Amino acid sequence: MNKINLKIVTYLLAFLLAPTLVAQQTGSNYHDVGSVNNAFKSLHEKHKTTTKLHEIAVSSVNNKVYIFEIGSNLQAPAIFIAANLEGNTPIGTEAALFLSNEILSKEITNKWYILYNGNPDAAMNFFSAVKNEDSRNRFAVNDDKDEATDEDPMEDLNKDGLITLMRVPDPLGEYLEDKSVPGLMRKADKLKGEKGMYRIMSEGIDNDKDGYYNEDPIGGINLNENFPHQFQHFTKTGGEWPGSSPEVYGVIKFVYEHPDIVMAITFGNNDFLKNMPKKSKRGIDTEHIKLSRRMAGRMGLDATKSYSMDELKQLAQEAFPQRSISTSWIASMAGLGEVVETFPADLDYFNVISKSYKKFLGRSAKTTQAESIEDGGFEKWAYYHLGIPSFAINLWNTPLAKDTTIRKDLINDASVIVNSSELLNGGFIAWKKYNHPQLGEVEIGGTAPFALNNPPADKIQASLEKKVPFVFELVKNIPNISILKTQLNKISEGYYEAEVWVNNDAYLPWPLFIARWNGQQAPIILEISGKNTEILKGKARTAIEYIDGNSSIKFSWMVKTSSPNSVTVKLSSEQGWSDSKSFKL
Amino acid sequence: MKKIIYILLFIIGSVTVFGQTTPLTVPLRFDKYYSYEEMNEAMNLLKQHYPEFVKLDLVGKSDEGRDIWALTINNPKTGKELDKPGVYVDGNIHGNEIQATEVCLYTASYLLTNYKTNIEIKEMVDRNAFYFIPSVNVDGKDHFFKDGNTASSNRGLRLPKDDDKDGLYDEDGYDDLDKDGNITQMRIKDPFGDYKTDPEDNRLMVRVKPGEKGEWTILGSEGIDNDNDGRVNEDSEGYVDPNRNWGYNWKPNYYQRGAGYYPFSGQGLKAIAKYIMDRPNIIVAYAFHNNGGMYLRGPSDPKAPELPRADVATYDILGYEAEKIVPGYVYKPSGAGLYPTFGDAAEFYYTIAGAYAFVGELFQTSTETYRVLEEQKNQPKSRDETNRQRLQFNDHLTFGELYKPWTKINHPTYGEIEIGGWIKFSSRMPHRFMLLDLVHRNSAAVLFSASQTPEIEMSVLKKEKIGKDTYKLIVRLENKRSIPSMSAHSVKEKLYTQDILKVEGAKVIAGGKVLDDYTLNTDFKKNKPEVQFLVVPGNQKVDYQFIIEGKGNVELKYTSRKAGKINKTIKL
Repeated sequence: MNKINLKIVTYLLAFLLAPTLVAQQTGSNYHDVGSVNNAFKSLHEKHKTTTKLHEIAVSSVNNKVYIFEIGSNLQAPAIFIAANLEGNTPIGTEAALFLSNEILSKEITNKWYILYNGNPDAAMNFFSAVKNEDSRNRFAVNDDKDEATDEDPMEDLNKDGLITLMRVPDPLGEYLEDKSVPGLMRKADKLKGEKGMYRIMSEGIDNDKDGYYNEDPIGGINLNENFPHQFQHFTKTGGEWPGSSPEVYGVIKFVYEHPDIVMAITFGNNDFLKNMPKKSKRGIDTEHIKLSRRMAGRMGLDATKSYSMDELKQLAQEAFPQRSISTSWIASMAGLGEVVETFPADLDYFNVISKSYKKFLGRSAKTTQAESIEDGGFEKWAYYHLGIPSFAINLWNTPLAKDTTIRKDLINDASVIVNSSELLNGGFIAWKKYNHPQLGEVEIGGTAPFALNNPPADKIQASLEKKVPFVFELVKNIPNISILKTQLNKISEGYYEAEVWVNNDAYLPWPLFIARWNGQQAPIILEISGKNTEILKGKARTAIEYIDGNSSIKFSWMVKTSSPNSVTVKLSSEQGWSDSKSFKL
Repeated sequence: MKKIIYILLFIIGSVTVFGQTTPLTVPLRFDKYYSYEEMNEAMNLLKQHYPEFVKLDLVGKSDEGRDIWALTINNPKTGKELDKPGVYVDGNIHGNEIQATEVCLYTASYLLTNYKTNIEIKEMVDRNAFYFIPSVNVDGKDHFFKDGNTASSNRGLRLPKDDDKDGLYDEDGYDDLDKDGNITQMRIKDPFGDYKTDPEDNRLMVRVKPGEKGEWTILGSEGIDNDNDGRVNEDSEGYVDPNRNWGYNWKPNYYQRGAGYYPFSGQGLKAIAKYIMDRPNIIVAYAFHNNGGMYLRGPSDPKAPELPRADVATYDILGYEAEKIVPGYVYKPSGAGLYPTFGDAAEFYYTIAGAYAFVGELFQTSTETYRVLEEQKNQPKSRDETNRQRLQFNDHLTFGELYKPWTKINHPTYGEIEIGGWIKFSSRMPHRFMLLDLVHRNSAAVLFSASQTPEIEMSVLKKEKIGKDTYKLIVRLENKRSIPSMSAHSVKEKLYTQDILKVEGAKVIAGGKVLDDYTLNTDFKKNKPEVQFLVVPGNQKVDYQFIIEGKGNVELKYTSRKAGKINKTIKL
């Protein structure tokens, strides 16, 4: 066959094979961006009255971001699910779909807002012909600040459909191969007299011939670095300011427009429930607060002394009788700074929930560590800014390599190598020689994209069934607030004491300590009213600022009324709790 | 009936004394304050009169849906807007700080009306693109004019906030009890009160000394207890401070009051940020506020490190000049010199948009004088003295316009009280007779900066044949003005691509920055020597050496985001 004929045959083959390739992808149990949108659209069609589909943003390459609402017919506290914000955990999107089906198959008692594919741009990478694990959206960023944008991406040089790594023999290289696991790369230890042999870089060529390899790939912003809590400016992938990406801005705006959200759960790379933060000394000491000289002066206090929060609230109330003094007011006036550590009062609850999570999962084989939760991410923002419990569940961990000699910082890579055959995309790609047009002989290999955090197709269902149901356990902890009891005590003819017991019969307090600090959660309001009724002591609208888990609190008013039977108390809240009761003598 | 109409007309007339509705003309008048509608009309008038220079853009909508307009001045005959340094001026980000609008309108009007007659103005217009957003907070502005206000109310964005945490939003604001457009003070006769009538001016009150008998209790600003919770005016409009809601170094609300829930929760602000980011040529930015007599630069967080030295040097040139142009003003860093702010607009202009940004605080109370010249050095020593002085100014120079004498009124909670005090068009802004001087001087400070935006010239210092078809070129880029082509901060944080000097049409064997003018020692760039990245400092030059091989025409191309473009052809 001559050359031209060969070419034609190749084209023909490619043409004929193309549809089957596509079919294989959509049939592989992972839903790509289009098919997952369709799946949720049909769920919505099927459950028209109880669900809504909100389009909250459009990415720079026209991918729409949706939130699937369940429980549209209810007024109840809501759970926000954020799935696959980093785009490299398509299993998170599967979990969102699995969860939605589970919720819709039972009686719906809560509202749910499900961001099922938080970063559709980055999610496309998983389904493209050449797979490249990259959490950035497709917003054009000139990474190397040269005269062109997105001009030097990675290339699949060895045509295995995966972007992996290149190890380049180089006398200046810092890496060598670890002896314990063949293929495992690590930095040479100078103290042990080791010398590096390789440079490690991503697979590709220096497209723009500026001496740097793959330094300006397609995109973008990693959305899970673009949230406002402890946002870091001037990083490569965080975006220009918090919420600078339309996707993240859309999420933030939606969340604040829905104050009924009382819990957030993330399906991504992190596992907050397994990796609990430690109690830290960096946190704000709420028992020993020192005031600035200016503030101490205004309150007639001693700037050199420290006060507890409760003391300060009392002293401030005396100094400013006209104001309603709250923890949040003190926090802001005392200039105590930004909260960056989980408050111990909240951590105590989270630790108990974490234990029950581990118990729920049962004794299972040890797996690799999930990534730790980062600043600028959704998970922390939900806790620190919204003041709600924020849990993160990752749906897949690679079985742990059993070799105890492997260093801790290498364990994830080593585990991929050891368990390679059972992992997605081939797990670990063995180093193989390749003649690089610019670098000469190199070797290409390393962890396959998406292999560490996503199960192979045949294990999707099992991993969802194992972890997703714990969401319903988490939801049981959401405060459930109602009026337990009312009582009217006669003082004299027409004069009464009205007593109301408000009850929270769930595990978590409302709100968390962080919310009392940041003042973000709207208060729960008790309104007392009646025909020909005048309130002599107490307020017609009373704000409940705090109620412990599994506890009641009592409120009382003195009222003057000619029709005691008409007196009622109404409980209302933006979070969705509502109740009302009349009084009985 | 006629009588009633006359009375009504009289009342309306006296209310709008500061914002009279006389027909607008060009040149615009600056003995009046422009309402939201008049401001838009004024911008339209400028466009009608100077259609070749003026473009109006709808930046976006405010939170209450009002249009936010921007006015561009560019002479298309001297180049495209984005190919020239951009000078951006905004104001009135706080709704009550209305005279900032007049600074913008005045500057625009001045540039256009003097273009043909003043050579310096002509040069500024021809060399720069000017952008004006005369009112950032259009909701606040409109409400400030139309509703009852103090000089400080309607400052924020119209985003509801539950200040008193009772589950209701903005339900207990001020109430204009006498319907005069002003929220003044309420006082009540009270023998146990803390105040007595000032013996020197019976309109004022002074604190009683220990042992003295009181006469008055001050009840606060005009208002009633709208929500019957026992407190008056405790949940007024807003409060998200539009100057704490920007994207740089934003901190949450409990950390800094007024931050809002998240950066750019204000839709108008978000649109303005986009407007600015869409004009990457902006190199100088002014944001005008209304009180204090200051030109402020960053850092606005006093705990942040000082700005890079080169940027401080540039700021100093512009800032110290502004101090002289506007007597009494102080130029200083806002964080260390005034108070910390996070997420403010000017800091965004500097850190994210890469412009040299100033906050101009316009009004100085000390200019309201009623004193003989030698007394003017002696500033009033106490608040009481200042108030007496201001009242004298009010009496003798404004014939009583600025201060409402105490008048009796019946209050639903307090019974018979008196209301009176300073009107909203006072205290933080000059009387209209002083407005022209204020806006002109501040405009001159802006225009000094406009005269200093980078002007780059390219010259070929040397073209030497060093072999067959091989040449050595020395190319010089000189900045004729004080402002560098890129701020040191922008370089340090890699905000965007530096200026590019590119050689096309020949093979570039080597190229790099000349480190020494005499030895021509050059830092040759290893890869892609035909593309050089650089910054041209203010009033300075940079030289580049290229060793090239070729024949015929060679193109030298200089491209800068903020300092324009130059193309030069040389023949080998």
